[in-house]
Amino acid sequence: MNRRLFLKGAGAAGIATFLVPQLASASIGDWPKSLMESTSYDEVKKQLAPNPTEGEIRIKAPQIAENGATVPIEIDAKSVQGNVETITILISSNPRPIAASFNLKKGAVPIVGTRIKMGKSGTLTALVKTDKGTFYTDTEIKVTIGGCGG
Amino acid sequence: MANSIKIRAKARKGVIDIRALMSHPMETGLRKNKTGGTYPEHFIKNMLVKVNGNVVIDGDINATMSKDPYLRVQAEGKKGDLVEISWVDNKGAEGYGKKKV
Repeated sequence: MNRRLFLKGAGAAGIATFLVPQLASASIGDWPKSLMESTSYDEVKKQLAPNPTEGEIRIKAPQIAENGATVPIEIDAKSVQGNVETITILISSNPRPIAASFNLKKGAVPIVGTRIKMGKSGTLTALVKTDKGTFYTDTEIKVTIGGCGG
Repeated sequence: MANSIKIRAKARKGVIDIRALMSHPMETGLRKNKTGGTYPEHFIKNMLVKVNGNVVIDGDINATMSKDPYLRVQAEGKKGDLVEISWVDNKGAEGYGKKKV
């Protein structure tokens, strides 16, 4: 086998392995590094959605979180128009504003619940991308440090 | 790691309610240790939820998620379906769990 042929084969194999992990298991290949590691809330928001419309996204989150290490939140985007493609959770006061971004595939119900860390009080923004546009809803979350739960 | 994820799944009216608890330190890389340095970052980057082998939700996760991440999602399905959840962290470690509804 000459060199050129060999390289061609390697290239084809490379493409194949690139496509397979999507189906096989979780992969970090498509992790949006620059967006995830960005430190500016406004910039991330602008990049994800230049001009989102205020939408009817239900956010279940405490108004006052006693412990910033685990803030339980739930995003319910059932009443948003169109098919939900992604749900992104942004926290304005965190060093890295994006908490998580969920891509919903066929068969998924647009509800995501999880627990997040918050360094200090800030705004939680739920960005929901559908085939009809991008929608957002904000909620303020106060984090009390000291654990008195005032 | 086999079954490192605790999963609860219940089907109701054609929708499966999935709750999962993973065990992971989720270090942000900002927390300070005793010697004045910081603990290196170590967090889950991607979570995948599958029902009967089809990917339903593919989540890109940041270090913002709490230690021992909890995830609640819903998907269309019925009793007897197989729910699988897997994750991979920034060090390449993987976790996997499955549950029959």
